[in-house]
Amino acid sequence: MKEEFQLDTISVSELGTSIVNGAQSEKSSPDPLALDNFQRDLHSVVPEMPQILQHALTQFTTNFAKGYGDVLDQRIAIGHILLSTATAAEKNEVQTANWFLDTSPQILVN
Amino acid sequence: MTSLLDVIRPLTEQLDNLNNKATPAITRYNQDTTQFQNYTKSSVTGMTGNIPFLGQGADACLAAVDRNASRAHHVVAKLSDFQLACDQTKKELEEMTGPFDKESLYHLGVHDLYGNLDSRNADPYNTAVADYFLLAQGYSAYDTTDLNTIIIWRIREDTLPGLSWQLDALLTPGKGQGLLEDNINYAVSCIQGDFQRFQTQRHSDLKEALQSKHIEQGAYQVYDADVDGSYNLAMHYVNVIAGKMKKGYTEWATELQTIVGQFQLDVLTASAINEPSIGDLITEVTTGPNANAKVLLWQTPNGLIVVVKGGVDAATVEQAIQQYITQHHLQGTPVTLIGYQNGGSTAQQIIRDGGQQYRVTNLVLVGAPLEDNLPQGLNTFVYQAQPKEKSEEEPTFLGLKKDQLFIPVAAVVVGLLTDGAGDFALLPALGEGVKDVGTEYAIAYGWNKAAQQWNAQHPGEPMPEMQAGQPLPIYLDAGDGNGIHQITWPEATLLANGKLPHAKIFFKQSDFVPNEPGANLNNFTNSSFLNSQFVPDPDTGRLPHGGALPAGS
Repeated sequence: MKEEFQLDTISVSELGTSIVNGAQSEKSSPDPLALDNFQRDLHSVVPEMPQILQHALTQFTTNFAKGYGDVLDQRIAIGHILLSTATAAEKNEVQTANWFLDTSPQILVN
Repeated sequence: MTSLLDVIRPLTEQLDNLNNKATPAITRYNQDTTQFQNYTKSSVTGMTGNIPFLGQGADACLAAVDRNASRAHHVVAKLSDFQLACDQTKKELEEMTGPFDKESLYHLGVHDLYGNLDSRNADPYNTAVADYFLLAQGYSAYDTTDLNTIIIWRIREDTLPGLSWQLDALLTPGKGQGLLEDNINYAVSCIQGDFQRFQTQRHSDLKEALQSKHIEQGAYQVYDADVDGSYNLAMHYVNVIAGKMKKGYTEWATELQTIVGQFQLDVLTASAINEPSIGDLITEVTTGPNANAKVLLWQTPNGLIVVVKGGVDAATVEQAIQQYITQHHLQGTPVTLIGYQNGGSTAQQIIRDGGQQYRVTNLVLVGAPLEDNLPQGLNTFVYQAQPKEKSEEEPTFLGLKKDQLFIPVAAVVVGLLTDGAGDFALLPALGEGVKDVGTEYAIAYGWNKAAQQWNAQHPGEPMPEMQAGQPLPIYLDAGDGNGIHQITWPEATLLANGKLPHAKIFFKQSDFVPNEPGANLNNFTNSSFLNSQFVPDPDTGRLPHGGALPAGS
C-alpha cells in the first residue's frame, strides 16, 4: 500500500532553506575550504610547478571545481524543490517526485 | 653542498603543498556530504515520530539526496586520487633520488686505479695525483678526508646549482640528460683549467728550486716529468669519476622523467571527473541500489546510454527501450549500448535485430567477446580480462615474448604486438575454432580502429565502405620470408579464406584490461584502466571523435 502524501509546510520549508544555504556557503563564502577559495588556492600553486605539469594541474583544478560545483548546484536545486513544494498553494506530489527523478538512471528491467 | 634532492625541491615542495591543501578539503567535503545526507533524511522522516514529509515526493527527495551524495563521493574520490598522486610522487621522487646523491656510487673502484690513489710522500718536490686533487682546486675543497669525494663534490657543485630553475628542461626526455652531461663536461673543463694552472706552477717552482740549487739537474728532470705524469693520471681519474657521474645522473634524470610522467597521467586521469568512465558505469550498475537491475538507462543531452546485464533476453530489453523512447518522444535517438558480461551477447543480438526506433551508434562490451555479423558503421569497444602474465625474464621480439609470437594452433598462429602500454595477453580463445575466432577478431578490430580513425579525420561524415589499401592495425607474417608487416586488405581476405596456411597474425593489445593490483577482473571493478576509458557519446556525428568522447561533454 502506498504511503499517503503528507507535508509539513514549516518543517519542509526550513529544510529547503537550510539545504540551499548550506550548499551555497560551501560553494562560496569566506571559509578557506569553500569551493571557490579552494579552487583559487590550488590554482595558486600551478605557476610554481614545472610548465610541463601546468596543463594537467589546471585541468584537474578546473574539472574538480566544476564537478563539485555541479554537486552543490544539485543540492541547491533539491533545496529549492523542497521550498517550492512546501510553499506552493497546491501541493502536487507527482510533480515533486518528477522533479527529483529528473537526474536518475532509469531501471528498465529489474 | 647542492644535491639532486635540492634540484627537485621546488617540485617536491609544491607536491607537498598540493597534498596539504587537498587533504583537509577531502575530509571537509566528505563530512559536509554525510551531514547533508543525514540531516535531510532525518528532517524528512522526522526524528520524534512526527513525519513532516511523506509519499512519492518524499521518497523521490530521499533518492535524489542519495544520488547527490553518491555523486559527491565520486567527485571527492577524484580529489583523493589527486592528493594520493601528489603524496606518492613526492615520496617516490625522494626515495628514488636519495641513492643517486651518495658519493660512493661514483668512487673510483679497484679496477679504475693504477696503484694507490694517494701516493704522496714527504718529499716536497714530488708531485702526486693527490696534490692535484687537494691543492689544484680553484677553491678550497670541502672535504679532504677522501680524495674521491673532493672531485665528486667539485663536479657536483659545477653541475647541480641552478638546475632547480631548469626543471622543465630536466623533465624533457633527452634534453634533461643532455643538460646534465653538458654541465658535467663543463665541470671537468673547470677542473682541467685548475689542474693546468697547478701544473704550470709546479714546473715553475721546480725550475726555481733548480736555479737556487735546492735540487740537482738529474733530480729536477725526474720531478719535472712527475708533474706531467701525475697531471695526466689525475685528469684520467677525474674523467673516470665524471663518466660514473654522467651515468648516474642521466639514469636519475630518466627515472625522474618516468615518475613525473606517471604523475602527469595520474592527474589527467583524476581530471576525468565530469565524464562518465566505463569503470564508473560498471561500479554504478554492480553496486548499490542498481546492483540487481538487469537493464539501466541514462538519458543524456546527446542520446541514451543503456547498460544490459545478464539474465534478460533481447526482446525484453528492446521492448523496454522502445517503451521508454515512446514515452519520452525520443524516436531516432542515438544509443550507446553497453553489454556487461553475459549481457554482451544480448546487446549484440539487439543490434542484429535492428528495426528499432533508435540507432545504436556505439557498442561497448565489458567482459564479453565481440560476435559476428554486426552492421557496418557501428563503433565497438571491447574490454576483456587479460590472461595470466608471463615471466619478465623471457626474451622478447618486437616486445613480444617467444610464446606470444608463435602459438601453434590449427593453421593460423595468433600473437599480439605490444604497443608499449605494458604487459599484455594472448588471445584468450585458445582451443578448437581459434583460427576463426582469431581471424574474425582481427578483422572486427581492424574495422573498428579504421572507423575511429575515419571519424577523427572526417567529423560528421558517414564512413564509406572500407577500401582495399586502407591500412589495418593488424600485423602479419605471411610465412613467405618477408617478415612482419601491417596487413593489407587483400591479405586479410586471403587470411579469412584460409589461403595463408602458414601465416602468423599479430595485433596491438589495447582493449585488454590490465591485471593491476586491487582491480577485480571478475566483475571489472576497481580498474584504473577502465576508470580512464570514457563512455562513448551516443551522438557520434556531433563530435570529431566519432563517439569516443564522453557522453554529455
